[in-house]
Amino acid sequence: MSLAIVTGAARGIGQAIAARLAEAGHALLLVDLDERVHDTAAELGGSGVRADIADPADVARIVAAVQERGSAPRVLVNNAGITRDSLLRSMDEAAFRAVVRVNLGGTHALTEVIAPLLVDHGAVVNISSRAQLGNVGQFNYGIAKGGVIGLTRAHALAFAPRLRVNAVAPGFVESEMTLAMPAEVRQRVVDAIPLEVPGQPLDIAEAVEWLASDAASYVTGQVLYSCGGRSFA
Amino acid sequence: MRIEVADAALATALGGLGSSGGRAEDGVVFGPARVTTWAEAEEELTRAYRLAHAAAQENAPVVFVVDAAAAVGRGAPLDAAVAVGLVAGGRCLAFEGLRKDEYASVIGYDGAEPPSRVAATVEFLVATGVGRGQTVMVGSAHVGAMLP
Ligand SMILES: NC(=O)c1ccc[n+]([C@@H]2O[C@H](COP(=O)([O-])OP(=O)(O)OC[C@H]3O[C@@H](n4cnc5c(N)ncnc54)[C@H](O)[C@@H]3O)[C@@H](O)[C@H]2O)c1
Repeated sequence: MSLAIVTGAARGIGQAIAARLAEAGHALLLVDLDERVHDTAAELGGSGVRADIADPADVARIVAAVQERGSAPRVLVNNAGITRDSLLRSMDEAAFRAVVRVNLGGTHALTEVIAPLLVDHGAVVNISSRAQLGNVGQFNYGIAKGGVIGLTRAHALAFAPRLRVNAVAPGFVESEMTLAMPAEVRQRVVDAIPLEVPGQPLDIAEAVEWLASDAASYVTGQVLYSCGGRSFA
Repeated sequence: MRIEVADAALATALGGLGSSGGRAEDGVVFGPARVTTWAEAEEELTRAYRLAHAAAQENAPVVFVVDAAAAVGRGAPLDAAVAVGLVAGGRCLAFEGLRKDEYASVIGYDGAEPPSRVAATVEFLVATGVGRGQTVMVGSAHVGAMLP
């Protein structure tokens, strides 16, 4: 059974990705800062590591957990992420650094140490965001998620032809992250989506599963927008 | 203008428009240094944040100048991360600034053209408001590739 590593898998999009990859026949190693990662792992028949992807000591623990599994992983999904939204004029440096460090620094750190361990023809899938095309109140998050796309392309070239590296850029998806938004803001966002509905975690999981599978064996360095058409509307 | 550009030739060419001690009220220009570690990448992005934050207090224009090849995702992963991150940062600033007519854009520079052309492009962009939220390429390294 091939092993898939999914970060930020305790809940939301990461949990849906893990469930979809399990259905596709992968064994799972799930990573999250939230201790609920152990419950999710138990539900899906995998193992969980409670770790902070932005902490080098924790990244080393993740590598040790992968090596303990005894078989080389096939898939890495860098999904863990946070937001600290505010208009730039009132955004403080700590909020800027925190968002960039987790979303971009964590993705970079984990890819650098896990990619060399992946089997030949393995795949990395990074979770970016449609917000990198421009959003109010997300200068920090936009930079981080744009940076993830820069990493995706450069890693796709660096690891070719051995590995494929792609990204999914979700639009507005219902999860704890977006349920924290005020109701009227959520409604305004949904009103701007051509398909007129918010995305569900499963929508993103399906895209990730495809990019991680051999069905996408000729696809690398790409960004798949799963955003109901919002990327150009 | 307040200008912080790591590349020495570019910094000299932009000297006519301002300096690191210049007035943020007139606008800011930032060009990151090449990086090799995550700590350096975070530092460069944070310098971009500080300048853009200062500009936002004054409704002043922001221009980021990035390496054109890194902006299409070539080269060292962290340089690409910084460059594409700033491309996205320019888009977010332009989007956020629309209501207050605050200007932001990005210049991709491949080093083959004279640096004075970057200075002329900064002047043109800021004076006309053309290219809001977009990446304007000075050079041809990007031809045949698309921006992320
Ligand atoms: N929900 C959306 O609309 C949306 C849109 C675009 C992109 N995204 C991205 O999708 C991903 C998943 O988002 P979600 O909506 O499921 O969010 P969520 O907040 O529900 O889940 C994120 C998970 O990441 C974990 N996490 C956060 N920081 C971590 C760290 N330092 N180390 C390890 N784990 C950490 C959290 O504990 C949480 O379980 C994120 O990268 C997010 O930026 C979400």
